[in-house]
Amino acid sequence: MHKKAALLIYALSLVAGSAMAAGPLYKPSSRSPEPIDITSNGYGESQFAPDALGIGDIAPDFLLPTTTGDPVSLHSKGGRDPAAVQVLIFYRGHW
Amino acid sequence: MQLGELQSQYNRFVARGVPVIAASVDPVAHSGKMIRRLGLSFIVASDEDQAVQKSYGVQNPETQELALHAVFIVDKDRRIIYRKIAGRRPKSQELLDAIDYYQGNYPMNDVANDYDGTPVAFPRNNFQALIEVADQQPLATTLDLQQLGRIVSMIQARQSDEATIAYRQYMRSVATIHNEAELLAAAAWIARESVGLPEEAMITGRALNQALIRQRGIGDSSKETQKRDDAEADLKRLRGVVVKNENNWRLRSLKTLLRSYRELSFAALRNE
Repeated sequence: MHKKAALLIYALSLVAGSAMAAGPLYKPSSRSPEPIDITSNGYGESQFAPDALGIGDIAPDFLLPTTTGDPVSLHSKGGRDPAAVQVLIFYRGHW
Repeated sequence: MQLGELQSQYNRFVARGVPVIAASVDPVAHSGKMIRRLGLSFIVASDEDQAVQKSYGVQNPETQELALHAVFIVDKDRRIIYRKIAGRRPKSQELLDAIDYYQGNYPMNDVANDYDGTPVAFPRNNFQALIEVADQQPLATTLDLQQLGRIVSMIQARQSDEATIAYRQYMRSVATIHNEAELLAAAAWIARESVGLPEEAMITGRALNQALIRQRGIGDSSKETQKRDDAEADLKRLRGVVVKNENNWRLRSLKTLLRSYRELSFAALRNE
């Protein structure tokens, strides 16, 4: 009975969630059963990175060398347009 | 994030005026080689002393010197609006959707790209069918398949040298870029249709496909290692058939193809 109630609540939360969900749906990890709203709480977090920055945090700026010879920083690329966003990707490298 | 996949969609980031910075611990000199090989046009930065990856908290606990696969999208004030840390890299479409959502433009539907990584099935055994399949695919795969179709037509026209050169160029240019599984399926198709080794080509294609998919995953269980070993064995067997028939030019082409298979799987590993 307890289980059933929990399931019902879960199901209701899914319905409520989907009714409110306006964001794009993706799987948080390859092992996730269902895609979820990418704006939902905890999306994209990893047990391997407990200290990683999250939504709403201010990303630290940096100055890194690049192959073009010009160093790059987050400031140097955005900032003009209020809708301006930038993508920062960490990839493994080292091969 | 596989950088080749990102490159294939990079023009869509450019169209949105969104800069992309890819950072790894690789020194600049090392990244330069990769940029040339993959033809990357976004910014590749070198975080050699790991200071930046540390400040974002994306150190890899298993291999301290490497970052986890992580993507952050920040607004003009550097506030994080999207973040994903995962064993498998998010594809460009997810990032574009996140950007469009933030900017109130979701869904943008600028280029239909719902390719989910499933190997393409080739319905009929002629060159035209391949082109038809290519026409139905999203942009990134269309180019590959059309090029493959050209190579198949060269084989059919018995332009062996041209086909071999084209294979080489083609595999070199796309090997590390995207959709390895699909390319293998296409390669297996070529082997099957043009060389007449249906069973071997199919087994090899399927096994390699599996192996690649496993290699790109995160686990490394003994079962997966076994699958990889099986794929290697299949590959060896097929290579044996080729060596025995050295004087057949189509088999020589296949040999080139097999070499490309290997390069392809290694490249996929390296690109992790």
